Amino acid sequence: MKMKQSRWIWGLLSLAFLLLPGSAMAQAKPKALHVAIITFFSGSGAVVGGPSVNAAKLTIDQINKAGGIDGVPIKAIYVDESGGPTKNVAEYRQLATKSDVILGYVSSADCLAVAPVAEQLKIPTIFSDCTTDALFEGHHYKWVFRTQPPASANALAMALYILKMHPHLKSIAGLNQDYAFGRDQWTAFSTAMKALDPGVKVGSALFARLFSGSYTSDISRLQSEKPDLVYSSFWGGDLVAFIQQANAQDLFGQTQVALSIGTQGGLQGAKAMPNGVIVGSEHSYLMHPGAIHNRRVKGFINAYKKRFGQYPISTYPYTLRRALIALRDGYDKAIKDNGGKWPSAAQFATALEGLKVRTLMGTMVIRKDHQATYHEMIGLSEHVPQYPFAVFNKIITFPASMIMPPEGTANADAWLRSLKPSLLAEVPAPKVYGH
Amino acid sequence: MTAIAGPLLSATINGVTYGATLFLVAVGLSLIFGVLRVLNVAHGSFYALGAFTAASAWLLISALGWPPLCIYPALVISALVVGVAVGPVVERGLLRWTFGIEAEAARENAQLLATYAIFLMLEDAQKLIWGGQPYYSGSALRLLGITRINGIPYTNYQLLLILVAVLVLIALRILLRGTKMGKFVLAVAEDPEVSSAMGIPVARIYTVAFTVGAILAALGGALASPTIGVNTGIGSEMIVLSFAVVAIAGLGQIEGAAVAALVIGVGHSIAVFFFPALSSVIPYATMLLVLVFKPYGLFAAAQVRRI
Amino acid sequence: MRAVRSLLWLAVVGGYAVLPWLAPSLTYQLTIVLALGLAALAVSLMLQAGLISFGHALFYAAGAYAAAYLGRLTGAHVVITLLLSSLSAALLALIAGLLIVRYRGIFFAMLNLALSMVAYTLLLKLYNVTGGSDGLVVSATGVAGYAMGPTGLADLLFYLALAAAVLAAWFVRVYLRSPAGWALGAIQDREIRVEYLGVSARRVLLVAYVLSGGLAGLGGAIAGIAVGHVAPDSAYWTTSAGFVVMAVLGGGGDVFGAFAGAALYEMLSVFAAQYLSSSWELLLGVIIFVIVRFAPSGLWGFYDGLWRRMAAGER
Repeated sequence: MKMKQSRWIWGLLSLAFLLLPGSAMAQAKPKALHVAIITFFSGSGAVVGGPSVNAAKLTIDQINKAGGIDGVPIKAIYVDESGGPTKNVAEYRQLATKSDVILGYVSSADCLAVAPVAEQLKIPTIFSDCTTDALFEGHHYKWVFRTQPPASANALAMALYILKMHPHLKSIAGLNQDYAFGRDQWTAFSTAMKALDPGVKVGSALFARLFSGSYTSDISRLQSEKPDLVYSSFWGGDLVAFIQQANAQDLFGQTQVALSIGTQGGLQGAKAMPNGVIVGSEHSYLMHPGAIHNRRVKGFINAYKKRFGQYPISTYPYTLRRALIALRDGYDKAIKDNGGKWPSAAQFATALEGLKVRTLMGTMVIRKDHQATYHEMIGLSEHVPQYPFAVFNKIITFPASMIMPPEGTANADAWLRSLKPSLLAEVPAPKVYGH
Repeated sequence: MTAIAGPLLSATINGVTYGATLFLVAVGLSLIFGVLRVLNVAHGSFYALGAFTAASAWLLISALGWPPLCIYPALVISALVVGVAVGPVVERGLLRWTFGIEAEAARENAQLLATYAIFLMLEDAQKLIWGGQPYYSGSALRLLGITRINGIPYTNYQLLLILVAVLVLIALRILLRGTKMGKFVLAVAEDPEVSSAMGIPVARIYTVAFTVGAILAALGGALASPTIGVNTGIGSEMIVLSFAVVAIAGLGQIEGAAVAALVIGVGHSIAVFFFPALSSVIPYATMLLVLVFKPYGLFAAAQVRRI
Repeated sequence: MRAVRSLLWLAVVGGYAVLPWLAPSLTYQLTIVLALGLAALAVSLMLQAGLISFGHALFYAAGAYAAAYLGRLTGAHVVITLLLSSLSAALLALIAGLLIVRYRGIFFAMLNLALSMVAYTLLLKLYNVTGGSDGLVVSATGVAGYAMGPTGLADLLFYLALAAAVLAAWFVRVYLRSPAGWALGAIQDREIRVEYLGVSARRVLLVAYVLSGGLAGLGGAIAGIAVGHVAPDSAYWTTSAGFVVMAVLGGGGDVFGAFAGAALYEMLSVFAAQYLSSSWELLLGVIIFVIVRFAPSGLWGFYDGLWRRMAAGER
């Protein structure tokens, strides 16, 4: 009888042990590290998704060829981000059942919606592209990381560049996409402009529906206002459509235009991009005339060009690559911290905190608040004979320390408001490069 | 120009050009309803097919190295090709059976569902043929240059759109009132049974009217293609907008559709200038108001006399 | 025979109830099916009167957005959130219904469409209130003050949804067999005769419309909590059309038809997303067309016909 009872208990205990979540057991080295990569393949965002996925494939092949992560190869599946945040949350729940790490997301709306679910399901999740400041404001996530600096950093760099180049600017107006990113970007930019030059008049702020693709009325509206500068944070197909329509309606001839992700303007069909537009690179641009002769950058560009038949223009090939390199380095560090054994998901997440990542163009640091810091490059668009698209020049590189909201910033706008015009004195002079 | 009048003029010009595209699509929908009494949910897909075909035509012209000005006739040809290829197939193959349903409510419901099914099929057909990537063919917008009105530049292409819409309106009037075929169409719209008894080939008139309606939608799409990102989903948006136009005008109205398209176009554009947050609510709010106070539309009597 | 059929229904519900035990990873999908089923039931209720609504996503979205707001206010109490969300949608249906029940046929379809599109554009544009196209996070973490883990909440929500679906189905069945329900069915082709009987057709329709709005809102609230997020797309006309399709797939004949239609629709979409990634609408379009053309009474008609034949064989 007693014997029987103890067998029962042992049976139950071993069953319970089997059913316990993986973290309680020693981690066996898996056959592969399953990574789900989410970006836009269809719809207006597809313009950025194609180059992104190309770069991811190239980077993963490079990592796997070099022995993977401690011998474990990365196995990626690629998932389309289009369809809106609700669809992406539903999709995330499916992906969470078969992925070790989830990586990507371009739209800020999708990141905001996915982050709480990632916490709920305890899957390490690295956002590679979305930039909304609201993501980490008031939240202490354990599982969510971002390798792209927030909107406020890009906005501040744009404001500094604009005021450096046009110290007598009187008025600005904006056309942005009507969703988290466009709203954040405009608020951050106009706030930074007012803080750095209280004399600047902030005119109308237009918001066009995301992916609507038709801006004729909005452009006329801006033209009738005649501000000194028109600012836009458009990206993807919307940016391509905007450049074409603004060019046809001669907006560029009439006023100075500043595009916060303008280096993407070289993409598909946007040969309409004129010279002299102020373009931000959103922290990544491999066709940078100062970096293009660097051995590692050149190696990547050539490998990309050889495999896909085109140049890795725009920011997107590079942001996803940076997230993947952070993933690799994070696992390497976690394995080291774990005495050479394969780490659990939680150990991997811990290892990412404070990680220093050596990228193709400088060092990226993932802070304790899970936000990575990186520099920003702003310049003027320029057509050169060697490429069939616009690149940029007269570049100012803003160090991360100058433009990033400090760790633990509860409200990026309040931080931007607190900036003083004296910051302009610290801005380095623009550099002109030979191509 | 005063501070208000300048933007107002600008808003009106933009609104009229927007209304012109809207009119082309909506008048096709209205024609189809007037003659066949079918509310064609798939109409937006004809618009999208026209836009995609025109975008492909531009790619082809660039690839062949033809002079860029070829794009303008190519836009019109794209619309004709789409309308003639898709219109008769849909009407004869997929809709004709519904005309035999006796009870009016059952017939209307079957038609709504059948045309919705066709809409779904055509949506995916676009994805299968053109892929999920958007097309940007803005060159046609730039080639004709700009005109400055009150110092604000407008593309001549946009102004040309207004002209096309006016021409289509005049042509429809002449065709319907001045030709034998047009009179047949009007007769069938008035009463198909009596028309049939008088020897009018009703079935053929149905096909002709449906095809012309499809061509008009495709023309709207083809002409809009340089001013938009041609993308899957543009059809589903256009169909509700053209529903709004025909609901405001009154189902089956043609001149009324022109007025309603102008109202929506200019209303939308004025909102962009003065109350940007409301711009996309304008068409549906107008539709709602009109339906509440004049359920048969602004230009139709309660006993609907169509066309 | 009747007893057998009732037993069969019990078996279906019981079988559905144990599915999350057999396949825990399906819990989410199974909950969504129930939510969609409620919305389809709402649409098929109006179909009883011969009225097609191309705007019921309005109430579905109203339920989901109400759940998002209530989640913040009531400390995320699931049951209360569901009830109040459904009530808010019903209230909206009452206000809209006062206007809408005056119309029939295409005008009914169009007016519903117009209303839902106004709501859709407002949800999209009023960024500071509705989160614009970003939508809102719907949070609900427990019941009666107990905080629950994510899997516990998912299970709880599933059984709440199942209970709600069974109750709703039963209630609609009883309603359809009441005088008000008979009058609703009669409006389709003999509206004047209904009025001659001294029954106000508008009042009959209004009651049905409010009930219908409440059901769709309940579905929306369940879906909102299950996903954890709601966006304006939930009010877009294609969402409404999806509900109509489910109702027609199932066949308007009986309350279970709507759930069968929703299950088939969701199965098709999951299957197609896996194996036919870019042609699932094509498949769906063909299926709808075939059903409208050749089997207007839908899945329910097929099932009912089967039983009738068996019953005839027995005699």
